Amino acid sequence: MKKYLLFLSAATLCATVFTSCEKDSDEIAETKPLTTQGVYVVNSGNQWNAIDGSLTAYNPATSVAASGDAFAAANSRSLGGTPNDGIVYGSKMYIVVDGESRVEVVNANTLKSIKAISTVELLGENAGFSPRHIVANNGTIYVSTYGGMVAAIDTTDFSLKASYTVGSYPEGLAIVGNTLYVANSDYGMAQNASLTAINLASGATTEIKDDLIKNPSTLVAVGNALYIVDGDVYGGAPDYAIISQGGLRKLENGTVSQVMDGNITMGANQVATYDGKVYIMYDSYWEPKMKVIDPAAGTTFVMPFSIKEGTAFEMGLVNGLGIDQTNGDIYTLCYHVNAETGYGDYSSPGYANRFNKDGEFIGSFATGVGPTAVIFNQQ
Amino acid sequence: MAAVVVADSTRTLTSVTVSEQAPSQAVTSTTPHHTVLSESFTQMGITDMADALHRLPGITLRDYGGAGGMKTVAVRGLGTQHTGVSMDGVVVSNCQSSEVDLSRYSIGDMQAVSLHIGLSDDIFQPARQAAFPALLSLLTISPEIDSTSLHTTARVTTGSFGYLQPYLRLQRNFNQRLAITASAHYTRADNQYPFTLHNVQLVTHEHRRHNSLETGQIDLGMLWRLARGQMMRGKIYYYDSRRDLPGQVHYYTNISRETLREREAFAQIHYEIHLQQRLSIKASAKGTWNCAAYQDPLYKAGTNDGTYFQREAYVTSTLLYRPTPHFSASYAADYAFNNLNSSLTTDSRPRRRTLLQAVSAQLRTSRLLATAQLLGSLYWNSAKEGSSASDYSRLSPALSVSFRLLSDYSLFFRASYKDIFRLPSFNEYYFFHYGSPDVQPERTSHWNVGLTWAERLGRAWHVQFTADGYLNQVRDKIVAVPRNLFVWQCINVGKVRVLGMDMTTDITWNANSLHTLILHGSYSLQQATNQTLKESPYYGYQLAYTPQHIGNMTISWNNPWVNVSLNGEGMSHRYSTNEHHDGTRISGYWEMGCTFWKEINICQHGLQLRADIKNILDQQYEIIRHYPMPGRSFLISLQYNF
Repeated sequence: MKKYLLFLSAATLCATVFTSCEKDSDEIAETKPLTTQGVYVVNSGNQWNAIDGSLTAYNPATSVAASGDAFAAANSRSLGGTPNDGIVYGSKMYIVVDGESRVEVVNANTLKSIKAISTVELLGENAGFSPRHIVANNGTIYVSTYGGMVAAIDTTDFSLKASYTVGSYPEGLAIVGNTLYVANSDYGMAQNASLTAINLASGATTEIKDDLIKNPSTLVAVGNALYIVDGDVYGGAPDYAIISQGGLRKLENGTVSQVMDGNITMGANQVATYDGKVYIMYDSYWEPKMKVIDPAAGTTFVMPFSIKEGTAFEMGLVNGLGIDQTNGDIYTLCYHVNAETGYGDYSSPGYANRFNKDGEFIGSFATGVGPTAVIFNQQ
Repeated sequence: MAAVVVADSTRTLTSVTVSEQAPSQAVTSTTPHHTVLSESFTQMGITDMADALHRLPGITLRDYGGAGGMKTVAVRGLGTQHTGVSMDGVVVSNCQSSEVDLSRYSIGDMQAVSLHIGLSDDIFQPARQAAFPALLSLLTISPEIDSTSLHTTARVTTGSFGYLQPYLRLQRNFNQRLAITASAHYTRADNQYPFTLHNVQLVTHEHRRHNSLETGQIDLGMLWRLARGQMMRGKIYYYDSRRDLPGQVHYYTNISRETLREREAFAQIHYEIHLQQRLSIKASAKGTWNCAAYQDPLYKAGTNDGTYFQREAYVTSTLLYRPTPHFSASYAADYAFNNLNSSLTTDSRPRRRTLLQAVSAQLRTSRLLATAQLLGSLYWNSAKEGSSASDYSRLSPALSVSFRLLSDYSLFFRASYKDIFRLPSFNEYYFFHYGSPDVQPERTSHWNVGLTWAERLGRAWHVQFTADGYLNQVRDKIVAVPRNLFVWQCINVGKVRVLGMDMTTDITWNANSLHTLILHGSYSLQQATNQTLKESPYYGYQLAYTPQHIGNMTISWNNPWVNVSLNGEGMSHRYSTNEHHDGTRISGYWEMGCTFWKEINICQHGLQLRADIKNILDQQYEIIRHYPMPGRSFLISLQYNF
């Protein structure tokens, strides 16, 4: 028995050593200028029509996307139902798969599977089902789940470091300083929505409620400010009147304020930051447009998307947004418009448009069904 | 035969049944009409409703798998909401979804299951029966008044995956005029059947989890022959079921906590009177209460939970006038009141009043049978809260004719036309962030031409063939479209054209007095294509879940030792989406089953022993994508009548 214990502690020790070694390589060195090795699009598929999710790989240097599902090509198996978010952190890519209650961990360059983290095994079925979004910091990934939890998972041994009980149906996450903020969406019911602030040093959580927060989804941080995408809440047919006007809110110095008004549809990743500015899509399901908010300069402008002579692009219906931090290239993830209905074509492959930081169209590429998040592999 | 029809139309059981001697209704009717009688259930290897439905030509069954899996029926490329279901001559309504889950009906209760497409030759029936392009009629076992005072049927069926169904039916006869029946059954199953999961190149062996079923049903019936030419029937029914819903199969998790409890109670009464040979009147009334409670405890605060209550009050009356043997005319009027309420905060408490009137005329000569009908529909929609759908009225004509081509042979040509529409369901009108009160009814035109032939060849052979070609045109098809990922809306955009063919064959060979071989087969071809917009990339695509080819075949050998039948059914590939996305192709399949049965006498009463092997070849297939069907399984049944 003692021998067994000894063995266990030795194993733990080894793991610790291993962990601390690995961590260095997992943290992004900030001195070396980064280059974007690859751009990946997480496609959520369409669970209603039993279409599996997938991953599209795009090479920004050659402007060519590999055809088919890059995850399946590397691993001979599917991501499964409803992949919802993803990041590259260190040498690994993490893909959050809602319908499978897992986080797939793959090599960021080869996409070969390293580990699949079951959030229900980590947190239990009630707390761990439907993982939604992910951020990473200090050798840890943080994953929100519809079970009302945020799991802090070690990026080397994938063990659960901590778990935090947060509010109703958490979605997006963002870190400001040493605080991890969580958007508690309340499933769009606009009854019990809030933010949870998790102090990463002490583990203490604080719930923040405000009249401006009714349907929060995506969070981004610029400097000391947290930007909150609050989705519109719609009434019923036939007019679908907006019950609660969404918009972009800001939490700074403990105060929530209005930055921009509505027609922001909740859910998908429609906000991004670059160079201290906030980029946000609006009217995304009708006539998508983008606003750029520069808090330092105190200015806001509508992105003038433009084309070079001889090119053309289809704006489509925008479901996601990502910005390449190395050069400011903008990627919008789009659904085609279904010619028969005039609404989104949710059961067919979507596509992505790429623009430079001034909004000039560079090119587009086909994605899987339901493109929802962009991952940049920058090393 | 006509007299029989008049006497008790809903009980008329002429059919495709292979042992049938005279030309059956499948051959003589002006529109496709196919029946499977309870006597054939064993012969055709039918163990449950799904099996019976697979044997009827033109049906595409949507089966979510296993004893508890939902089963709905689409006929000839039309949506499942276009199939009406009637039970003992009264249409079963479901205003909420307009779909009837047939898994709730136990095949052991049935005397006949039949499918009728287009206008019926039985003009002595309620107007509601005419409101569907296709009607699936379920006829439960009816009392047969005789001199025996007590009849008892006891049966127990058990099988793989924890399936158990005890059944008891009692019938008490009083003075040869009145019969009272009581029947009850209980069904349970774990349904944790194994299946093989193909995930790109990864193949794993899994079990369906969270798939159990528990159902109980009890009914009391009454048949009273008041006087010559007068008859009254009544029934009180209660059904209660609790199911775990396994949901779609996922590759890496099998978490599901969804449950569905469904309850239904109804009381119905029917009265019929035949005055001389010329005038017949019948009337029915029915009150139904229905409750469906869905829960998903995984989602906190009951976010996705809902309990739905539906009620219906229905009355119908039909008058048949037959001035000469060659001509008859009828008038039917039906009135129904339906409402729905639920536990949802977004509930608008919709209600609907319906008045349907049908005027029909029929001409019958030795070689010609022609029927014409005009259905007038009036719908009044209202909602207690929020906006309601508008009222709607329409006249729908239908015509059908059958002609015996040669007077010496049972060779018939038939042609028919029916114009019909489908009123949107309450879900399509009102369900929050899905329905829209602005949506219009779906309109369908149906044309059919067919050739039928039945003949007795010599002493030993009887053959029967039917072949029908048809065209369905659907306009203003109701399609749910996403306004965005979270808010859906029903709109009328679709156009669909279905071109198809149904063929059946029944051959009986009485080799001698002890041995009979019976073959039954059917084949359907359906090209159900999207015709909405020529410019659309999906123009001309086959509709989701609509196979081009469907077929089934049964061979049975009746002998003095142990009767045996071998059956197979299958369909070609389908897509789960109208867009035919790569990953949504569902492969075709052919599934085989085998039945052994024997009837022995114990204490002068019949004991039937039956054993079934289903899916002998252990085929792994899906009908609905990500809902695997069970592999090989076994079923044993013992029935004793005394």
